[in-house]
Amino acid sequence: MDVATMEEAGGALNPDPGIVMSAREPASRTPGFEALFLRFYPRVVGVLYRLLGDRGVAEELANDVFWKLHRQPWLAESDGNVGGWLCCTATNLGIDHLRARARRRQHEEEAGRYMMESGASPDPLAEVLREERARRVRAVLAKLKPAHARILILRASGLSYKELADSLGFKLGTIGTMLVRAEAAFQKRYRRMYEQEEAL
Amino acid sequence: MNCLEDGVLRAKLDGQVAEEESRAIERHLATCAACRLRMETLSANAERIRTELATLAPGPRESFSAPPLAYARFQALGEEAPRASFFGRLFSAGLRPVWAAAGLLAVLVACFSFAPARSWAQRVLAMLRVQKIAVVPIDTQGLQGVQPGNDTGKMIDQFISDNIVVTEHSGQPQIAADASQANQIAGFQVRLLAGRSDAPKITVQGEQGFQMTLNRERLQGILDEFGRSDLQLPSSVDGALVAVHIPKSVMAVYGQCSQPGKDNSQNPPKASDLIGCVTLLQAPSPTVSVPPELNVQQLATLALQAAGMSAQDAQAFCDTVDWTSTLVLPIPRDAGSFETTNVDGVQGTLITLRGWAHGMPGYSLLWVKSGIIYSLNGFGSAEQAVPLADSLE
Repeated sequence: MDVATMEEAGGALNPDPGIVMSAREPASRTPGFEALFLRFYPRVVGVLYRLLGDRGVAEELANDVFWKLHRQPWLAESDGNVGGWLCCTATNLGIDHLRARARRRQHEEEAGRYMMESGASPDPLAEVLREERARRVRAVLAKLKPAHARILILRASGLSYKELADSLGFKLGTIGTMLVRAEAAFQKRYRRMYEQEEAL
Repeated sequence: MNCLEDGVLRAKLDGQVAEEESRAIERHLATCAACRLRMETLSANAERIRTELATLAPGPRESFSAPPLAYARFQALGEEAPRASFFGRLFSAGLRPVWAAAGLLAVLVACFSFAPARSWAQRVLAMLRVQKIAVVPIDTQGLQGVQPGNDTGKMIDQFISDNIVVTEHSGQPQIAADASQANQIAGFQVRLLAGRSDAPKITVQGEQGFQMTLNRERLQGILDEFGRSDLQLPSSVDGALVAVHIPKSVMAVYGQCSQPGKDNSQNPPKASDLIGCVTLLQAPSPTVSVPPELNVQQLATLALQAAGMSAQDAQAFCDTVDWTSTLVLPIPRDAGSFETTNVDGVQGTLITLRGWAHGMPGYSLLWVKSGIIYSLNGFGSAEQAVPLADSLE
């Protein structure tokens, strides 16, 4: 992705504090943190898998999401919207990862490799077609404005409008409009990228 | 009732409106053909997108770790040794407090030292590779004020934390039984030291990537805190995205080496053991992408001045550097000395360090050949470095 496209797509993601670049300290063993981890891990890893299509990477990034939470004990200990914060952070990390992959133009090769590694399937043809569609969807998400990609992936992950509003920091009444805009942007981008191969 | 907004219709489709509002919407739809038509269109679009996004859901054969197991792994991760970047690993064995600041500068200067090929008209990112390494001595007296924990140190730490986004995680290093297996994993021709009779422990580190979005105000704030308000960063810095991609690297460890990152203060390694410790790191060049608007030579000049160089010396040095292909590594002047030398058929840089680690002197020999960067590190006399490196096969 070139600079212009990056700017058009909303600039750098991830306003949250960074990760991994500094030494890790022992993870929290407090019951509160553990409870949050156990409660939200499936949702966080699910969001990341949808974005990246790779279980190993999704689980690794999920650790980084919780590591960010660990570094903000005030958030973990508060009664605030921790679940929303985790989902939003996971989506930001996932989209960053997705866009970086797309920028290096390795996405297709990697997707192809995942397909090869996906192993036996009861219906290999259906599996290949599904993987190809998923690859296209991820490529489109990587090109969307982050705000659009975020709301689409979180809604697809099962978040209600209330949860979306809490996660993204918007008013509940605006979620429908934002979804409509994000869907229109998705459709437009999909057509631009794949109109020769199919009509959405 | 006026016609309904798309957002309201969309929420109604998802069943995300209150019961009373839902009934009001239904009453309106019963009498408004235009809204009904829009509702049908929205419904069809939403269904198409939902179907597309549903392909991303984990398949029935895809299972994730159970949360308790994932939590146990998370805790174990927290107790691991820190994972250093390639640049960090280059100097990891010798990092001292003052080196921490120099290490940051190394990364910054390294990032800035890959200028695009002056094709300023092109709105594309420049992807450049290391072809040679240049070392520049810096006077670290001014950097003594930069320590972990003090205000400047915290600002730098926070800046890195806030502005660097890891885009690709290397994961756990893979152990290779021999050079052939390392070749296979790493994807390039791995070479080992024939001059050593013992078998090395070989590990392959996965690809890594990170992005750094520069924030002029905060960088300038660090310089101000550092007492260098005289150095003014250009406005082109603000918002510039620097992306670094580090390919797979191979580390071969010979002899008894203490584990990097492990606290050896209770049981310090014996000097007789360390003297046989040699590490060989090899990796294809990292690539660094910078926007063409960024005046990297100007930034590198400022970074070197911040590191203690005079403006004149920094400018003179920067003028001599081929900014399209040179990795510049700043070395604290009081940490040791360096010289250029012939190694492995090319020109390399031999750095001799007075205190490498555990109070022992050591050396680091760096060179680039056929697109692969090599770093040979060891304890004791630097005289053994070149013959050892020349035994690579």
